[in-house]
Amino acid sequence: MTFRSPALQIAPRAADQFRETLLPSRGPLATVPAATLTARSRTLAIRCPAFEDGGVVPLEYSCFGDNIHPELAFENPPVETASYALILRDIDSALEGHADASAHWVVWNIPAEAGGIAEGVLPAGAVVGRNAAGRNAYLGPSAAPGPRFRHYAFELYALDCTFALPRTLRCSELLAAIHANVLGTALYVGRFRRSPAALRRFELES
Amino acid sequence: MPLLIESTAFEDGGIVPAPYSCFGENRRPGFTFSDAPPATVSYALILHDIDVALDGGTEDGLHWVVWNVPAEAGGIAEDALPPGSVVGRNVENENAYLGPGAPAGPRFHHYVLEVFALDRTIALAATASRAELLAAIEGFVVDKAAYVGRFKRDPGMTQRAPRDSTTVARGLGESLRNGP
Repeated sequence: MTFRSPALQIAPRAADQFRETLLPSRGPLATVPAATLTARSRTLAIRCPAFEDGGVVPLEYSCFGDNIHPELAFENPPVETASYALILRDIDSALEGHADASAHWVVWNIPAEAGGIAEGVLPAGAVVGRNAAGRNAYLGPSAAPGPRFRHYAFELYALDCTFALPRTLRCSELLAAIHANVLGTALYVGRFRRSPAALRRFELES
Repeated sequence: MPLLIESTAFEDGGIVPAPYSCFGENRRPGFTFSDAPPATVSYALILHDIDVALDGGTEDGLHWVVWNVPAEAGGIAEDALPPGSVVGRNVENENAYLGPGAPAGPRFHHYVLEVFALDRTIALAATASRAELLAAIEGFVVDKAAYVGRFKRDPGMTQRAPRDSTTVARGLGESLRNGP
C-alpha cells in the first residue's frame, strides 16, 4: 500500500507515453506553448442546487438512493471553452494514490454551450468513460459503514477542444489526454456517510 | 470504529475562519482524533490545497506537515503541538503551518487534512519532503482519515500575516527539540 500524495497528480511519464500512443492524430503536442499550461482561468466555478460545497450529498445521488448525478451548472468559463471534462472522485481513496480506483465517474466532451448538466441526464455529445468499478456509468457516493464522512470531489476541466477518445478510457488516461488543453478548473466537494436512512433503504431493497 | 477527526475551529466541509488563514493570524486549528486502532503509537498530519493540483501541478499546495504526534495526546490543541511532534517543510520551504490563502477570486479552495495513524514513531529529519514522509510511513499506517475545510480570499484580505520569526521559529523549535 502506498500513500503517495497529492491525490490528483498524473505520473508524468505515463502521461507522456499516453499522449504518444493515443494522440498523434490531434497534432504534435510538443508545439503547445508552455504558457498555456500556466495561464489558466481562476474564475470557473461549479454551482450545485442539490447541496452546498462542502455539504452532505443527499441520499438520492448516492448508490444507496437513485444513484443519479446531481444538476451542476458551470459558471464563468474561459471564453475559448469548447468542452468540459468532469470527474467524480472519492478524495479519501485518492489520497492513497489510486487515481483510477477512486474515480466514480469520468465524463468528457460535455459541450460548452450546455453550460452544465441536468440531474441524471448528460447533454448530447458527452461521453462517459470507465469508472473504478470498470463500468461506463455514474457511481454515486457509497462510503464504508461507520460514522466517518468520506469526501467526494467533482473536478471540472474547461477545455479548448473536444476529444476523440475511446470509451474504455480510465480517469488517469483521460487526465493525461486533456492535460495540455486545460483552460480552467473548478472543484466542488460533497460529503457522504452511511446514515441510518441510507442503511434502512439499502436493507429494504436488498 | 474507524479513526475520526473532529475540530472545534470549523466543521468538516465548512469554511475555515479567517484567523486560521495566512491573511489572518495564521493560527493553527486544533483537532481531536478518536477511535484510533489500539496499535496506534503516533500520528502524521498533512494539510494540502487540492485545487492547486487541478491546475496541472504535480505537487499540490503543501501547507503543513507534522509527524510523531503521540497517540496519547489524542489530537492537537489549537496553536500548540504536543511534545514529540516534528514539523516538516511546507510549500514555502518553512518548518511551519501555512494557513489557507487561496488566490484572489470568487472561488473556494479546498484544504484537505490527512491524518495517518501509525504503529510507531518515525525517525525522519525535519528537512524531509512530503514524499520522504510518505515513504517513511509506508507499511506502518493502521488507519487514516480526512477532514476538509474551504477558504476563499475576501476582497479585504490583501495583507498576509507577517512571516515573522515567531511562526517559523516555533515550528523549527519544535522540530529541533523533537527531531532525531
